[in-house]
Amino acid sequence: MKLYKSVSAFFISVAISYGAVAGPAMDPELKGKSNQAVDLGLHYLREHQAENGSWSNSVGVTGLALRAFLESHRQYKEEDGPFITKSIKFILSQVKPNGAISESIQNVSYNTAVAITALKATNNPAYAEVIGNGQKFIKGIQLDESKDYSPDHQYYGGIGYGGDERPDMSNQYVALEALKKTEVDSNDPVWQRALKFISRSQNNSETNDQAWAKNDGGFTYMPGYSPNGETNSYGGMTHAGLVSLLFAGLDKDDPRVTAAYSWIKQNYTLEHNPGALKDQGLFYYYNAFAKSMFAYGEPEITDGNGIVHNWRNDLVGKLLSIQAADRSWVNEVARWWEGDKNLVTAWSIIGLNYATNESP
Amino acid sequence: MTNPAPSARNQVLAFLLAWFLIVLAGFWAPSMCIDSAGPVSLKADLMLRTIIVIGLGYLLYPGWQLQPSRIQALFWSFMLALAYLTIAIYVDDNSVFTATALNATIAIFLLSLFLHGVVISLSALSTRKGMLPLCGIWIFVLLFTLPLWVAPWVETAIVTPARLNIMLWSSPLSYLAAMLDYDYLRQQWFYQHLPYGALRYDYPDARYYSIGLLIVSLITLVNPKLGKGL
Repeated sequence: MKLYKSVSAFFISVAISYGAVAGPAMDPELKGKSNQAVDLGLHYLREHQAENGSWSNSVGVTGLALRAFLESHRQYKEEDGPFITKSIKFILSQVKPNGAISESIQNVSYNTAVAITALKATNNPAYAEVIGNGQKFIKGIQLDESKDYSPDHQYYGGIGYGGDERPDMSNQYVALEALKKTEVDSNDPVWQRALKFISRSQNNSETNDQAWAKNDGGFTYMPGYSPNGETNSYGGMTHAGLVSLLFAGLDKDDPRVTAAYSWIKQNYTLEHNPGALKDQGLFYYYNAFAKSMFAYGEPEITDGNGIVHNWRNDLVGKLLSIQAADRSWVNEVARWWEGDKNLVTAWSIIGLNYATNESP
Repeated sequence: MTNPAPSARNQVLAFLLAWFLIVLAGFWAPSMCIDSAGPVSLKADLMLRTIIVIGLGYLLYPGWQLQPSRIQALFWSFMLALAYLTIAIYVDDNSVFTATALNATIAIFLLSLFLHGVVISLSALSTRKGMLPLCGIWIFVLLFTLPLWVAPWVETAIVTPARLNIMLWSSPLSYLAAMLDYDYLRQQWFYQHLPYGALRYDYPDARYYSIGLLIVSLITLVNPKLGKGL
């Protein structure tokens, strides 16, 4: 009996010490460092805000930077200074009569989605009408019967850039995130329509009726096309796909969710964007990774080799290791706008905000 | 250019026939370019018809065979705009004349005026005036397709957003995109086959571009030192 107690005590102490290093809770020291890195990153953004209140003269980048401030551990508010109020003013100055919020005809859907997500994060009811009109705009560009797309069309339920009618998973995920964050009713038909498109972008022949669909569970950019060759799955889009499925109301037992999570486990890494061409879309991947892992709600993930990872520790550790001396983040591979320090810094801070927020 | 001048009646008939052919092509040609990916958006449809009207409007311009004049160029540009207006009203399902269609109409008028102005200007510098319409076609095609044939170098040679913008703004296609509020570079084919979707670029300000086209066209058309002998 004595031996049994000694052995039990040994295993309990091992379990406790293991938990302190790689257990479900985030390493507190790393969390402190993450908060410091966020402060430095926000400092960088404050220094690089344009006179008109924007970052990079873009509604999208401005919305992301604003969100980075509002959702940080500092929980900035409008009364904290012009770096908040001026950016809101810039966003509001770009509101269009049709509800879109964009400084150009490009990325209208992205910009609108990011803008209303940021405005919602202010918790200021004064922006309710702008947010409501933005929701209507986003829902209005979803492809459905009103635009001659029948439910059996591969693009049905998809949301694109807003300038044409080609939908893709990247716009879809940002749009759905905005609709979720701005509390669109879960019974709104927009979600079920969106699920059709999301399902048709997944390499999962069990749930995807498209002939090209493979079976690894990952996501392509859009039905039948991946920028990384053929219809190959890759990390950024698979995390975007997973979080989109969860936003649309699916639970963890749904075969689409389990398939996507399985791909993420098998391809778990923070060294690169798995499945993508070298370092392309790396920070998009980190950002989507943080959101999807947070939404999935598991503190640990077991990779394809059976190794258990605390994703929060891994993500924070990685982002801390690549923060530049000037306090920003940037990708040397500039494709997909990742040469824009304002954008990449905002994405990284948002990722860190998700990682250090342990109460979903 | 040296043909004997036909009668006024024949000139009118030639203009009307060409105009009618352009209207017909504007109506029917897009329906032959079926997009297998799905229904074509109204803006994409209008863009395609705009290009058809401008292209055919230049190629079928009766003034090349008759006795061209600045007044004819102005008149022809107006007729092309009218042709497009007719087509756009037909294309719009709800028969509601939209701001997009109006912008496209203005764009057609200005681009046509500009193209004719360029040819008239070149005629002052060239002794081979018969070649000028052909030169105009080449300029037209090269500029319109600029984003296509420059695409392989945009990520290596044209690395800054400013240079990329200058290149894109040199193409009338970008002007049309701005006027039609249509980001054609993110249309499916362009997105999948060209690198622009991954880069940051802006379209020109449609108002300033329009004013610029108008000023240049008026200078080339009004200046009596240009276009002598055309």
